[in-house]
Amino acid sequence: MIETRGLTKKYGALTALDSLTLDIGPGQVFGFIGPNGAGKTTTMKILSCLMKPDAGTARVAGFDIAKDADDIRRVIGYMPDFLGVYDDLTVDEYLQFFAASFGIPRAQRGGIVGQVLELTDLSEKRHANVDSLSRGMQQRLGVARVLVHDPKVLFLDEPASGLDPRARIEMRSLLVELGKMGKTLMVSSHILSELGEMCTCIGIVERGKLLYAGSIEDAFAKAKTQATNGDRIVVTLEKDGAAASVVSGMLGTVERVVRATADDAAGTVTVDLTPGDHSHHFLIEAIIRAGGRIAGFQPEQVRLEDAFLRLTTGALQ
Amino acid sequence: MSPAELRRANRRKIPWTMRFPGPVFSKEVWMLGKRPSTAWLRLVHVVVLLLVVSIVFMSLRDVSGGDGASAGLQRYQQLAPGLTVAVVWVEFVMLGLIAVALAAPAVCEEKQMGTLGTLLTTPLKAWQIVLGKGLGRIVELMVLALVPLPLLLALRSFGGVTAEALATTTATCLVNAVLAVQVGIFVSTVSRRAIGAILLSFILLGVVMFGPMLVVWAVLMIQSVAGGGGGGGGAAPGTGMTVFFVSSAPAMLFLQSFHYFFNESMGAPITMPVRDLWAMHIGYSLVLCVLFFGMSCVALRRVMDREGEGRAQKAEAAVVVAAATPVVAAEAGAEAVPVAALPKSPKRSRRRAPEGVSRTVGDAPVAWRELQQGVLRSRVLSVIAGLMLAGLLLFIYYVAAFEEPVQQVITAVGTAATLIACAVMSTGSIAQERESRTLEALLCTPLSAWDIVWGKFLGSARRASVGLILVLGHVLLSGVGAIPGGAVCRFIDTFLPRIAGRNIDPDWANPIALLHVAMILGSSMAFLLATGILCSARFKKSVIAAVFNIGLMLGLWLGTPLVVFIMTEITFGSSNGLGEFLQNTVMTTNPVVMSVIAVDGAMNVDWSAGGGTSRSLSYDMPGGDWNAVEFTFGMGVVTLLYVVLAWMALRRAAWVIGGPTSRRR
Repeated sequence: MIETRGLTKKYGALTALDSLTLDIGPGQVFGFIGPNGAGKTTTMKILSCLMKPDAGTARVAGFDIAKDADDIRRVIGYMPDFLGVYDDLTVDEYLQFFAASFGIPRAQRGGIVGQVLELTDLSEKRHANVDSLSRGMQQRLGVARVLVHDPKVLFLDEPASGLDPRARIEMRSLLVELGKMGKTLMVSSHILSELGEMCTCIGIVERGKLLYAGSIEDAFAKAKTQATNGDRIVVTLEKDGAAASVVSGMLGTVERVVRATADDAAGTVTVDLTPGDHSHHFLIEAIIRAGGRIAGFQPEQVRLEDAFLRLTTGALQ
Repeated sequence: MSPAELRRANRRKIPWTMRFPGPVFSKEVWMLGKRPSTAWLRLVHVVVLLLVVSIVFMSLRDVSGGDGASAGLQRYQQLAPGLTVAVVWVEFVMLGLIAVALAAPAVCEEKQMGTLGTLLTTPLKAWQIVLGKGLGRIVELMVLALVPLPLLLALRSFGGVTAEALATTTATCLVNAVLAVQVGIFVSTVSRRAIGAILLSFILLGVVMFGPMLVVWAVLMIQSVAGGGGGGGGAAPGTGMTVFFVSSAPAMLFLQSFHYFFNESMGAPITMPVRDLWAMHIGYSLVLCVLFFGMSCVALRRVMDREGEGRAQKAEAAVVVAAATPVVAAEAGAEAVPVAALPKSPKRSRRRAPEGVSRTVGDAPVAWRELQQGVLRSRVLSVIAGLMLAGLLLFIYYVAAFEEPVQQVITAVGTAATLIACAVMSTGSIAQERESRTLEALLCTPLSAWDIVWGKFLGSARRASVGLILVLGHVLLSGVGAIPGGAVCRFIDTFLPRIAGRNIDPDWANPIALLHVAMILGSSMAFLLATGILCSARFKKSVIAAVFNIGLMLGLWLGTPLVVFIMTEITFGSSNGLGEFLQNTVMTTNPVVMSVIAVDGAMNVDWSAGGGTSRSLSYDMPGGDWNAVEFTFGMGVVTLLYVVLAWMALRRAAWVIGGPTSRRR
């Protein structure tokens, strides 16, 4: 549905996008992750035909961004990171305005506006002035706006930015719903845990370069490989058994353990294993042999934040 | 530590030297100094000054005198008064314009960027913000005022211009520039958009500078009418009113000062010591400065309070609405709150549909929305402004009784005011969309660039049409006496003296003036609106677009005629054919001059005698008289020229918008 080949964009001496090559299939919810200034917004603007690339090609829904900009505009919806609204219009007028901009006949507009308002849970504010809406509602209105012409592809730039926890949950539910409707979504966000819950695949970009693109599971595996080379287990010990430092000393001699770090005050031992699939019973046996009494045994979950931190170098532009 | 002790301790931490002029001043001076727009303003100021001085110098250099150093010095002394007058006028006009351009967006920009709320979190007082912003701009103006200083000193040293003359006139320029800054900042605190603030600042500045003079004039006119002296009474020299009449208006003061210092016969002499007039004017302006400073502080305080309340209210509203949302309410176990119980949005005066009602958007959405916008933000304001204007016109009609000069002045002022409004009105169309971040959403739709530009043009034209309607209404009122064949005119001529109780001989215009003024003003309005949209598309900030478009207007219709007239007089002399042709061409394209000539020419027939046709009308053009057919043809050509130029400007604007987005144009 979306494919880019060697997409490059420069602002003077600054390279915002550096040969970005990406493929997003139909119906995928693609999380676009990267530090500030990494090139996420530039990518979305180029794909939305708001900006021309300096080099490279891209196709959206089969249309070339260089030749078929008008066709692309009819099949996409772009929601910028900061939603500007016409403060002299009501919610209904605002959506009608964009419906008319997309050439939807006047007779059909009322029904469509009603549907998107219901989907975005804004029906009760239909005749309220746009500037009287809260930030969260304005963000939902932004989503409603990009849905009025029923686009196949949605580009959402930081849709949850500045929202309170409740509004973020509502926004996430809404995006999940859109994904279920079969729309292709490209969502950029800094709230990585939320992307992890709703995205089917992610792309990590830094300094205009795509560091990773693929499924979330693969990202975890890759992050794991780059950082610890294997699983990490956190063992919590009971106080009436052997001390954490004793247990860690014992575990350090076990063949598949790379490193065992003790925290006597907390009574925990963090164990890094060699790469590969392991069953963990040998660890339990070793701890018991060392005199330790196990209160907790928790393989550490790699989160999207960890994957992001491990896959990027943290360099900002 | 008690709160009182804490407060005292906190105050001790900030020495008074840091409170005055304060961090806002430092920031403003720094920011203004490094903005490219400020550099452009400086450049324009220098160029205009150089241009005017060069032109005046060239036009005055042909004074008699022999060769040699003493003769040369004598020539300089003869040139000096004229050059001083030119420099002072340029300084007065340019510093006033630049002061408004710098000050009017001062607080509006903070509102638009949302940085005003940040100032709430600091211990800064409203007066510190107003003072800092004002002083920052005054520093910039002082720098600009230094530009002609070497020339003025040379005129003082070699030209014999007195120090008193230089000091008084320069001080008047500076004080008026300071007043313009204060007015601009005050308007900026009460306005939402920078463009509106600029326009309103010019109007308010005109009112405070010339309002008292007009009031005195009106009183004298009424006295004159009541005394049976007929319309057109003037100020009686030497009265207290006359002193105020002169000293309140800087332009009048300049004329009087030039007469006193240089014996330049540019104004009616009033037998008053010019030092007294000057002191009164400075005092009057400074009192106004203090008044506007105080009003700005109060207004800013209220804006900041309202901003704080608005945010809190909005946050509360969001919480309540979230609780009222069925899904969330079910999750939270809360009862749904009826919509009627929700807090209302902050009261706003913008034109919009009544609460709970939405209008149906047209098939051309940009044009639809633009056409919904009112000229002023609220209907009440529009009605008040309309009533005030109508009252003023009726008063003028009453006291001046449709006399020819009054008709011309109203036409000229109406035309000029309409054109200035046009120059500003459309410059926010695209730039404001960019500033409020709505342009991206618009550009994501399949609307063509032409749809957007044309919609913006229609909306601007609709708002600007009020000025056109007023001017045409005046011309219609003037011309109605000629329909049919002078019958109405004769009726009113016999009727008016009875109600006015005096002898009146009104001058009536031929209705053909309606057509001419509509052509002239309509086409030049279209041109300015189109160039405004082009500037708006080209420049990121609406303020820069407005300043550029006003500069274009002044350059085209004020600067170019001046340059052409003086240059042709110097180069060809007064009776050269080519010189006359150039002068004619320039004047024919000047809408203010042409509107006045159109009205003047239409009144060149005694309609009350029942005679006269359009063929007998005579239009006083610079190169000779034109008859009605020639004038209509000439104005038709000019109209066509402006319409074509407007169309080209709109096409270019569409290209500017559509270019980066591969959009249909």
